[in-house]
Amino acid sequence: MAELVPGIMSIPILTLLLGAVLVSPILMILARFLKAPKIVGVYATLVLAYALWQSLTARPGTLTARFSQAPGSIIMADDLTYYFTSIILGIGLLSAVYSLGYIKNRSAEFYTLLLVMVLGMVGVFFSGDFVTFFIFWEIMSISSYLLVAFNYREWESVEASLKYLIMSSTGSAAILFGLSLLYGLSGTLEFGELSSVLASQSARFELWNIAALVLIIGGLGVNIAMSPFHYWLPDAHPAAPSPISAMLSGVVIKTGVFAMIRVFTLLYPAEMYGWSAGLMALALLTMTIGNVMAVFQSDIKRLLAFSSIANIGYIALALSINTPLALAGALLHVLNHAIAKALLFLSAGCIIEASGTRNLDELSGIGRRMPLSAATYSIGAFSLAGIPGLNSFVSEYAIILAAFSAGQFLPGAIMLVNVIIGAMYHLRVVQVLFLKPETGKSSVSHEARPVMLAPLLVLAALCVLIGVYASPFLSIVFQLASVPK
Amino acid sequence: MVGRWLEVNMEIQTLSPLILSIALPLGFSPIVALFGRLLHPRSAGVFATSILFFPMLFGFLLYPAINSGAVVEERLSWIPELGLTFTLRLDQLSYPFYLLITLVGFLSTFYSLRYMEHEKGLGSYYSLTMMFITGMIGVVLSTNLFLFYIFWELMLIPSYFLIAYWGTGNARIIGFKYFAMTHVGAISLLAGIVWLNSLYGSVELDVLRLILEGGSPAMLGIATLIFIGAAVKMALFPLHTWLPDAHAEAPTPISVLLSGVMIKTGVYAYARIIGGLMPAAFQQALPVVLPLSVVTVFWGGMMALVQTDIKRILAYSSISQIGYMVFGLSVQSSIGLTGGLLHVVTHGLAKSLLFMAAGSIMHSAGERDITKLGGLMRPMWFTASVFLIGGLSIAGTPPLAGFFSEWMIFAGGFQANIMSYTILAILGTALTLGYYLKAFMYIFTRGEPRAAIKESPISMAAPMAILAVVIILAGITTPPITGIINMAVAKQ
Repeated sequence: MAELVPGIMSIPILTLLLGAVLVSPILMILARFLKAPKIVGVYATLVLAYALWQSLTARPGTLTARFSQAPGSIIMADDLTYYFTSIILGIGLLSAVYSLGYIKNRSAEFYTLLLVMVLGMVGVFFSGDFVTFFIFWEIMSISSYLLVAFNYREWESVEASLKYLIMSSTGSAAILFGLSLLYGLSGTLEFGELSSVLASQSARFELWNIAALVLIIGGLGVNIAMSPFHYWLPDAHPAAPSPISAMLSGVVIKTGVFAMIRVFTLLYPAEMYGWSAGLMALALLTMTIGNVMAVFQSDIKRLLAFSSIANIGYIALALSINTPLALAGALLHVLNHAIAKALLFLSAGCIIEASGTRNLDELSGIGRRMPLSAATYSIGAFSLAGIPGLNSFVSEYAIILAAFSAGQFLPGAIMLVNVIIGAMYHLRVVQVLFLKPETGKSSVSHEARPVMLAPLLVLAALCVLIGVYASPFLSIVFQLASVPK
Repeated sequence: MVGRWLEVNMEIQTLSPLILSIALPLGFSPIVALFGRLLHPRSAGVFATSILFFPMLFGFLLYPAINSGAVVEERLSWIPELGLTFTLRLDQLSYPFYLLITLVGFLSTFYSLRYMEHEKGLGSYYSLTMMFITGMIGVVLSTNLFLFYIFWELMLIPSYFLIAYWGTGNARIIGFKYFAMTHVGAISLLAGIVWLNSLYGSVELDVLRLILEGGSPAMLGIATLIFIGAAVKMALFPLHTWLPDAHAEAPTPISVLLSGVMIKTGVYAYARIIGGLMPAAFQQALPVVLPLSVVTVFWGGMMALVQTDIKRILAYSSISQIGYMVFGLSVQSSIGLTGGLLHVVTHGLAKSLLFMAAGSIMHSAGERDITKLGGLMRPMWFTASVFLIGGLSIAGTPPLAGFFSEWMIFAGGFQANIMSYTILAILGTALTLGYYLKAFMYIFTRGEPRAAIKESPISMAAPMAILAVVIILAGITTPPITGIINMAVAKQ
């Protein structure tokens, strides 16, 4: 029998469950019947806005609710959950608003899928055991495959989606195999019980336990596109419609980061399992590959996709350093990268829609025709380039500071070099957009509609706000990072 | 009269002039861009100039306070989590830089009104110029290295756009080279700052200064990283390669700001962070820095001698003069240090004047190759005379301002007993005189007089006249700024 915990009705996951699973299919059919597809879009936006409001005003503290004695029925919410949920819902809301202007065909299906994807991510954050976790994880993944292939008449989308599906399913299979090993070892998949079982010395030297850790981290590594599992990302993210690219690059890969934080801090403490060095090596490889590959791209969205890989490398480096300062830097970078990358993909979406091309050579000089879109793009690009006064600088500074403070000078220096490379390719795009002479395609472009520009301005304002006045955001992440494990 | 003046001065301090001198140009820069787009482009220029008048005015009004040994400080709370406050401070070391930045910033924007009038996108031009000047003001006012770095990069981004969009020649590539080199230098600076932060848990200059009194083994590494950052900015050999391109191809008012003022922020970083915080590491680095400064003097001088492009001559001359400033700061004697800091001001004024004169020549004659110019003495007598004043001042001709600063630098060298380097540095001034006289002869006196060419308009001549008068006055009187620099040196 469900124990009704006070406050359970006000958590965003229920809003989304009801909103996505129950109402939106009905609404979708209704919208088709009435030939008014816009109502699904408006409805989805309202649901996301309501859930975001719930998440932002949630009571602090940990909430655990068990709905039955069967395994896989625990909802757990702590401050970390609400932090990630707010980011996902915020970016989701802005993408939904943007899509009101961007998505022209089949918008009823689009918004239903978008709601389901957000539901999957938020469900992952709220899960209190691995079964719930895995179910929501797959909801998120499957809706992502569908959304990547949303333009299914284009071969590029289908191919990218298929590649994504194969890679990501392999990752999911690895996670599932790891979970089955864990269940066989400990007889439970609840986070609370697992953490006490795994903290024992006997578990530490159990070979299958190590295998489970490696399988789970490998599977999550596919989701966050950590090298050497990153090959799907540069295909999948550009092929999706731009608001979905913003979601995928901005927040979907952060779901894996959340899961890693949960697995590492809750279940496998670094002092016992010693994963730091391995993760650090992969993180450095990831950021270097991402940045170096981004330099050579001529497709604006592909460049942004490689930049996402690089930023995942920064976050993973911070996780591997594993001090409160590093964790705070990682959490802040999750927020900052989500904002900046969503801003970049959405601005790029405006530019691509207006000009009809993703090729940087053909986009040159478009900033003169689309000053607002190109200017907001530049703010996002400068942010990720680590220019101070914008948001990513604060978190990158914190991560490098954490590396130096922990005595990890070489990784810190490698990250610094990476930040330089990042600045170079981001600046190159800004230069192309503003300074190069116009081409046939860019000279006939016009500025995007207000409904698409509004989310861009909100995101750009956030970039500047967090960059100039980081204090409240830093205090949140420091509080999250210093919670005793 | 004096009482009234002091009263105004007290009132100005209650206005928080330092925060205003950052907030005004930064806050109004988007509005200026909007003006340029919606109204006439000239209105943007007039508006920008009138905004930039205020920081300069504050600088003049604060003179009595600074001269009496006081320090002006304004504090806001900012990021307590990282132990950071938003504190701006104008002390005796930063005052000469502040005055130079705001004065030249105002004059060069005023100069732009006519010089840039036929260019496109002037709203953005003035807006970016204001941000660029704000960055420089912020660098010399910051009291913690985090804020310092923010302003350090705020200088870079707008100036990159100014060069790449309104520049001449292959502006995009040159702008990118400028950005790339300076940004790598900035990251090196950042690495030094982060390292300091990780060792001592603070980036506040005051806190660090207290902690670092004793020195520490890692200091040399940190000092090297910070020095590289500063050296790229001030274009010390062998990190100077961006400067001749960027300064020569930037639009002339921006060349004025780059060569006259911006490279001095590198000198400021060197004096404030390395000289002020890490005297031990500073001492250890001297065997490298002193030869580098002398090589810079000669490299810049010789390259200037063989250039034919007028702005390139001036750009290489800046490299050469930066060598003198670093030499003065590094000789380890108080008179040399005073001379180095004074040279920042005198060279800044003279080089701004020279670039404005070069712009005036380009504006009137439409030509920048000195071998194709000539005979401009009669039609452009005013430009010719200010060019001569600027050139002679930088070459250290008495009684112009540059003479005193160079005199002090060399006196410092002898006082510190480093004869060979000092003698080499003195020989370098012959090169300086050589290339300026050569340029003067090629442009003005050689060849047939060209009557068809007209003198520049009054709004371009006025800033030049002001600078020339200041240079002459500073030469025949003891520059009022010297007392302030002496106080700064005593505190170092």
